[in-house]
Amino acid sequence: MNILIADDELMSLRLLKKTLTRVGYEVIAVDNGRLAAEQLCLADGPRIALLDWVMPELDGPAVCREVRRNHCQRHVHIILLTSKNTKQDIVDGLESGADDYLVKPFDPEELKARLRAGLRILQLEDNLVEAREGMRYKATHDDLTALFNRGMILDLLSRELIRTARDGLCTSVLLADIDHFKSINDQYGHVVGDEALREVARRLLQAVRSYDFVGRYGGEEFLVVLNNCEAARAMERAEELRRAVEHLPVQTSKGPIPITISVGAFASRDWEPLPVEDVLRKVDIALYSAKAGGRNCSRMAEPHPLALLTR
Amino acid sequence: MTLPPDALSAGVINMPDLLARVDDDAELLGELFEIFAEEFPRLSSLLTEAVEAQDMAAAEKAAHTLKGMLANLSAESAAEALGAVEAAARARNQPDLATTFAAIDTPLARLNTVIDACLAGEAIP
Repeated sequence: MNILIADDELMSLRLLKKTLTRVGYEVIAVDNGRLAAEQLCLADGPRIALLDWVMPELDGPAVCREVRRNHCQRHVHIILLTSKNTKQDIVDGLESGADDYLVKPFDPEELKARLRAGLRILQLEDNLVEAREGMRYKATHDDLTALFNRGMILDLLSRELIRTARDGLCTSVLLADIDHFKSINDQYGHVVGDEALREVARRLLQAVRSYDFVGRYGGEEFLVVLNNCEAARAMERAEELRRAVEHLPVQTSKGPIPITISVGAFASRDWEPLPVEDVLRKVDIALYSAKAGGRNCSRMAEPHPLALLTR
Repeated sequence: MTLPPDALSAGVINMPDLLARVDDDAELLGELFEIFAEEFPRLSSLLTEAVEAQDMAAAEKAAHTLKGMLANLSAESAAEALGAVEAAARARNQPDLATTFAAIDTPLARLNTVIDACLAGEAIP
């Protein structure tokens, strides 16, 4: 664990460095408050710090205030270590944003115990952040396919449509549906159906650009948001996705199964700005048209002239 | 560097306390004494100049720094004397500053004697 010590007094710096190195810390030592604040505000800077109060440029409490003001991504555990020892000093120090306060000269065992307490707090924060990120992921992703879930992909679509309208660009939307999926489930069982969904999801994700969005819209339906993509290109992309699914049978626990998708497409520039619900309605009609046209094909939402595009 | 005998350090350095702080590391203790020997003249001059110039803020800062160093060495009576100087300077009390400043000579002289002896390897118990 990295630890920052900031003290302009040479003897304290030496003593602390030796004491902390002995118990396994990697010590970053600085002799003024400005450097301390800079180190602590780095994204990968030390997460635990021992600060003297009286230092050049910025004193310990000013460092605390600066770190608390600028550093919101993760907590830095700050201990003020100073020979200022009045009750008011302690109150002022803690009010400035320090987590703990130790009076010089330090007792080594107390110092180590306080640092261990700080590490416990940091560990607790790490656990909470991890849990929060896990929940955030679960709230935005589909368990089976790991794609964005319906709520998230619609949210992303909504944002893209707003951005597109504002910037005069074109967002295209593809709605892909696995052909005859019910019969896959009926014939091979739901486990194989799930395997097929996962593989189709993987192929779709692999076939789009890194800045496009792919989500699971419903049971066997996938919604693809193509950022800054014109209508003509959208149909090419729809066909690329369709071919990506079609070109090799999906390997399942019951053997290889040929799978195809039908794709409905929508390009925002062809329409007046529409709310998400209307966009979904248009692209759903286009998908229905692809299904009606024999499946394993793509159709553009009217009124685009490429609506009759075939495979 | 040798550790000071009790007779020499008694009342000057709280040796058990200091040895605990350095984890009984004689080499580190020697380094701290050397740092003191190097830093003390500079810090002492800063304090003297500040007191003579009646620059309270500078006197407070110099006394604070010196006090911190002395506290690290467990030089308790010297640290206490410097703490009184710092307090007088913080209170902007010129008469107290003069009085407390005059009182630091003896504990600092005794401390310097002990540390010089240790660094010279003379203080063998």
